[in-house]
Amino acid sequence: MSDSLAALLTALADDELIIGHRHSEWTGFAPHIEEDVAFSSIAQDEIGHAAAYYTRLSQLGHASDADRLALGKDTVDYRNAIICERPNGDWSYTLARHWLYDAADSVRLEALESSADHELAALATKMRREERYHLLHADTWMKRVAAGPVEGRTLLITSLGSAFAESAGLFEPIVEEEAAIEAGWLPAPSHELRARFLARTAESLEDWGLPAEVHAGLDRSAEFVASSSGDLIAGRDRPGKDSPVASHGALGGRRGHHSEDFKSLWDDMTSTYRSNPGAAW
Amino acid sequence: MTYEDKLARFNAHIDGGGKVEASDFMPDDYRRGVLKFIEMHANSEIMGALPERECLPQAPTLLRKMSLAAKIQDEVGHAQLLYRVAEDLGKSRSAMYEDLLAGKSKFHNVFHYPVQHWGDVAIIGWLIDGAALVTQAALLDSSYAPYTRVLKRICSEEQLHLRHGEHITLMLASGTESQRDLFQDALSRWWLPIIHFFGPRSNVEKDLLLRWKVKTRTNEDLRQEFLDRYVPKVLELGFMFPSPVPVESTGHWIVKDQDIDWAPLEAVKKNRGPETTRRLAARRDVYDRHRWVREVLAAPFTYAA
Repeated sequence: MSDSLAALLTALADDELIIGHRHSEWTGFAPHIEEDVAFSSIAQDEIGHAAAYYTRLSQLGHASDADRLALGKDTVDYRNAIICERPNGDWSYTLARHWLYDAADSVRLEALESSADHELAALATKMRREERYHLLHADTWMKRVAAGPVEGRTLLITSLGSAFAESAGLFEPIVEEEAAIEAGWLPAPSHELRARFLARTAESLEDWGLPAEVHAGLDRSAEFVASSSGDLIAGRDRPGKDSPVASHGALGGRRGHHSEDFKSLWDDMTSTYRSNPGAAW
Repeated sequence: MTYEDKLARFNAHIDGGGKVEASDFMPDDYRRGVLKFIEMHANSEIMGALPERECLPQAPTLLRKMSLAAKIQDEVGHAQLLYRVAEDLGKSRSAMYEDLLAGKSKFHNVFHYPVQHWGDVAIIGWLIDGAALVTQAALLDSSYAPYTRVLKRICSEEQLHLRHGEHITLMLASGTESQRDLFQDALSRWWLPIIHFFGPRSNVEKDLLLRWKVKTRTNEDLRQEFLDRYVPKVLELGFMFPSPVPVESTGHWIVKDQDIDWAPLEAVKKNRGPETTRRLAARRDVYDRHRWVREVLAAPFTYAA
């Protein structure tokens, strides 16, 4: 059993669970019928990936089963990035976050394919096959909205501003990151993955004719700054107008610090599980 | 050929068990009736996604979270298929959707009611889907052929939903006391709406959809099939029925007409059910805030990189 591998798996699993949970809130409710069906598949995939990571984690002796790791823990034990827990807002925010999340996830999975944990490496290979379609889906929407009528394009640019700032949380170092790198569980440090993510997303934005300020705003907003308590916090937040992003830092998720948004999500998500501890459903 | 001649030939065709395609001649009343019927079915699939969607965030395991999402996704897919079939009869999907949001058209009574907890998911997945499957299987032999083709796919997916609902029910029934209470509480709230689901007794003389074999069986006949199939199973699991309590008589489980309070159904038919306004308003809100999405999708776009 390795604590740093467990920390890595927990961050991966919680990201997938919480983004999958948010995505699934569109199931039956998306602004377009065909898209409702498509986006629900993506939500189901993400929850399935979470289940796979939790199962790996349970094999390491951390808890009896995946459901307990997903639903039977306190808010401070979740290690997901804060961007995953933000409410869906409108479709433009959902789309911006979906694109950024899947771009970040593909960078991460590419690296994890050479993890020293062979089970994790095999999972990464399998998941990349599905994530390819997620990214294709997100790219197609991004291109269409970017090239489309002005109202949608304007909304997307605003939403990208706030989502981009908070995407930094996806690359916040995990606890015990140095040990995870040392052991080869995590083949590249988070800051390096983030650099790859920024290079790729910048290229796409340019290709699609979306303004570079969206991207430029990021570096000021998401520097890793040490606070007086010694925690790393976001240097600055720049939530866009009408965005669901509250005035709260993008960082902290990897250490179990979450936004107010997470509290209500957690209450809802774990309520049935908590109502009958240990029951089978 | 005069209209009367065509009508006579159409009636003879139907009486002989013939089917009707979208491009065939059909009397105006047939077209209107079939359109309204399929439109209501489509509306019911899309509105039927909402009660379960309200329970989805609280799914108690990862597997249930995925399978419930997949089930709701199927329902939205059914709506998409059914709206296409209805569109061929002369009304656009956007017109149907806007009529739904404006409260001008109808959807099945059961989707006008609130959900409270995971017991509702069991009832919806087992008894309500079970009721729907009884009615839909009866339509597989409908005279309107394009409808029967999509119903084949819908019914096979509904079979899966039914097993999913039955499994959730069995887990609650064999679970803790409080899990059993969830099912009993939901059964007590849903039983009357489920009885209503089949509608009041059919008026065979006046019902044109029965005359033209769009519907093949009466409401009371379908309700009886449902009662005979499901009442023994519910009793076997040790749950109790609220009013109208089914009683066994001559090999059938009977609910007497005079025991059924029809007033709640009358309110629902006027779109005044307990959750009608809130659910329609929630859909309308998403629709209104996303006009831009429809504009994006309507704009010309080439997929080349």
